[in-house]
Amino acid sequence: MVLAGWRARPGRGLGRCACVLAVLCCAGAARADDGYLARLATAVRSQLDDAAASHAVRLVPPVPVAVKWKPQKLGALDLGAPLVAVAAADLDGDGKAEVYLVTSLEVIAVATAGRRIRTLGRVAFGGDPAVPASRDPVGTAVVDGNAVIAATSAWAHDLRVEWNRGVLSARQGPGGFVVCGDRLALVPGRNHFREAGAALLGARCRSDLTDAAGAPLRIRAELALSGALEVVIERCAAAGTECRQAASYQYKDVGVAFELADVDRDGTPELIASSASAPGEPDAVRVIPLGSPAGKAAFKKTFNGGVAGIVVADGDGDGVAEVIAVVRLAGATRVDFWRLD
Amino acid sequence: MRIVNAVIAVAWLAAPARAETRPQYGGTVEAALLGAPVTLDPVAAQSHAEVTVVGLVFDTLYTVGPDGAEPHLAVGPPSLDAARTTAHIALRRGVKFHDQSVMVAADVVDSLERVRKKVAWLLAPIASVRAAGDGIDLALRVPGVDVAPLLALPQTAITRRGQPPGARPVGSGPFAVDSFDREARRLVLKAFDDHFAGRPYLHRLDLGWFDTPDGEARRFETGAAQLSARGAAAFAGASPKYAASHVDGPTAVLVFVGFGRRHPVVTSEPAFRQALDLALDRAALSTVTSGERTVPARLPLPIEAGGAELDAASQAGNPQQALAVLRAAGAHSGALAPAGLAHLSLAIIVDQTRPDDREIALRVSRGLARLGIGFTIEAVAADALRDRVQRGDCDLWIGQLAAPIRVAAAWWGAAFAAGGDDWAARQLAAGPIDPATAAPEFTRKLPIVPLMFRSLVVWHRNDVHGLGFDTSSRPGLADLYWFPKAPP
Repeated sequence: MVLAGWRARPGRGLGRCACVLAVLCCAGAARADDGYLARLATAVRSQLDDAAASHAVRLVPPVPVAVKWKPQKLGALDLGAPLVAVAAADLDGDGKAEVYLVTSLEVIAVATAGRRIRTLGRVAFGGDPAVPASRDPVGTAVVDGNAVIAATSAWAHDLRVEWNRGVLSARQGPGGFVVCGDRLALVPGRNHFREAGAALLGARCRSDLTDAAGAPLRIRAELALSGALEVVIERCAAAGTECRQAASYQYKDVGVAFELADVDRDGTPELIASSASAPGEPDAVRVIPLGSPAGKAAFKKTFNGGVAGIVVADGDGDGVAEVIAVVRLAGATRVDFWRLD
Repeated sequence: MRIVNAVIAVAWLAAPARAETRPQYGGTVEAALLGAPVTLDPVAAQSHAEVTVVGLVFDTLYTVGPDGAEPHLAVGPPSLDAARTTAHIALRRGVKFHDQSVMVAADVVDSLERVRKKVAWLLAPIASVRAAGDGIDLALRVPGVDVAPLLALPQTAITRRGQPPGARPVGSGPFAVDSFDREARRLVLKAFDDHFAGRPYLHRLDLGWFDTPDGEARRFETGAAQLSARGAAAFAGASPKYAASHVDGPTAVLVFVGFGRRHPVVTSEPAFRQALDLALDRAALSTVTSGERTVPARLPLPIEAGGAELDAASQAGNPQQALAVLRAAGAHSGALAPAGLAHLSLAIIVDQTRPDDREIALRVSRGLARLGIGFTIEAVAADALRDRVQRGDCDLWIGQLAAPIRVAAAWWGAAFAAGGDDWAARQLAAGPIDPATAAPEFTRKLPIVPLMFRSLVVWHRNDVHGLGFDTSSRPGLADLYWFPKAPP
């Protein structure tokens, strides 16, 4: 029997699957009325349990870091068009995350390390303008592997933005807005999505965080038109499978700029959110450990302008992610960058 | 981390939430126009009220922003061929009219050809328009001329098959006409879901107009209207029912005196017009305001487009010089001689739905009095005024022009045309208008007598957001939204 001599070893996951498939193929050819299949299934289950036990993924608890909240203005930049979305990641491989600013015209990569904001590259949207667009441009920016998928309601096609030999480049995507792995469409001519009958302003998903014990978490936060943010947390088995809902929270009056992160790495993810009032008016960023009441924010910073984007990324390459807020006045194309910790 | 399997509803407990979310959809806003719109046909639009409505119901190929012409129905700026005699304009695809038909190049061609026939000066640099490829080709009379600013003027808005709109106009603009009741003084617009630039946030826009100076402010004060361009309260010191703020637009509305043909030997005479121009006290005229800024003017050109600011002496006028001009002319023309003028009474007609114009007419009449000329002032319905002006059935009339503040060609063209003079049209057909030529030509003929440029100050309830102005001082009503929520 194929399974008899098989021992699970680290890095042999694919091999294990192949073995199981082989067994099932053989079983299909056997007679079904002599109990052979039942015995085979039991043997397979047993072997797999043994293999899983010997192959258990070790939980790695996060190592807390001391966060000092000390807001600091990094600089300002005139983007030339309204900012619609922000993302951050180290896509150029220099060990420091870049911030990707999506406007209604282009995607602009900037570096936030050092004493000033530095533009690294720009790529423009192109092709057909979206018809209908939304009255005020809206957009999304999502990191996907080594690229940023950027979309705005002003253009029919999204952009896949990446670095090629030190040059920021882009190619057109199929259109739509990547939201938590799905491609959504705006309600025609409007500034929100509709998914499964519910109207959404946006959503964030994280599957790379763990709880304090190191168990993988899956978090999904959906922002309704009312400004209510529904956050659902699933805790998963060590291998990231068998996820079960562990908690859900609702926060009211959340603005469209929000992010999920475990800034202090204590295993309790935080919601970092702007507030929901008229666009461009004075705003605030609050950092709230998920589960805490909104009034018990770990940190709060008010701004004279509206918070148009929040990212959490290691912009200075010190191994610890910072919270960066992008702030603007109503109708302005000039934005200020604030590092909050 | 200790996570409990429970739903916890939490809310901001701190001070009232402020700032960045997205506008919401819904609700109705009641506002007022600066007067009754006589027509909803783009090519016939003249007054501020008309160009405002045209901008809500129809679309143009371009709009004029702070930095110049911007593509609207067009995909990009006009591209010139090698000889620079043909400009190609690519059009957005998938644009719909209110009747759900899709706009095609033929609609644009027919609309622009109608403009060429009806408003000669406006597209004078264009010899012909035809459909071509993904848009239209314009044959230019002047190689390389930039036609985009002209194609941003509301008169060039695109209609279905280029036809004049009927009783219920079909445009492609952010709002469709729901009802237009002239007697009830009400134009109701409803949001057009498929507007190519995005559905307006409001469901409905109720636009009215008034024939009393305080009617609009009173309605705002009591909370019945959410916007007012004539103050926040009917009486000084009073407060509106709801907390309010105001937004000030550019001084892009020209108020002028036009001339009819009841006494053509007098009013068609350049010397009479020059005398009136000199006799007017524009400093006094510019106090006719309910809070908006006014800029006295003797040329139809805003300072932003190259016009000159009048000094105090020029604003006050020069009655002695005015009389001298008239006397000199009277030596050659009996109609302008003192004996002839002594028995003359000129009829000034004003639009009764623009109460400010009555005040303006009164101050113009003081200029006539300085010249020893009698007058009558008659307030008539807006459509009657338009009709009488076209027939020449008046001596003087108070008119309005609104155009993008920095587009000089639009001001010269509209001003000469308002006085029935085709000088600007001929100039535009030959090339850009040279201000050094236009100003003396205008001053010599005075097809109209400019009085002042004025802005709009619009008061809005603090829970109505998004109010701004375009460069023609038209309020951006399609961008209004209630925040946090429209009243039920």
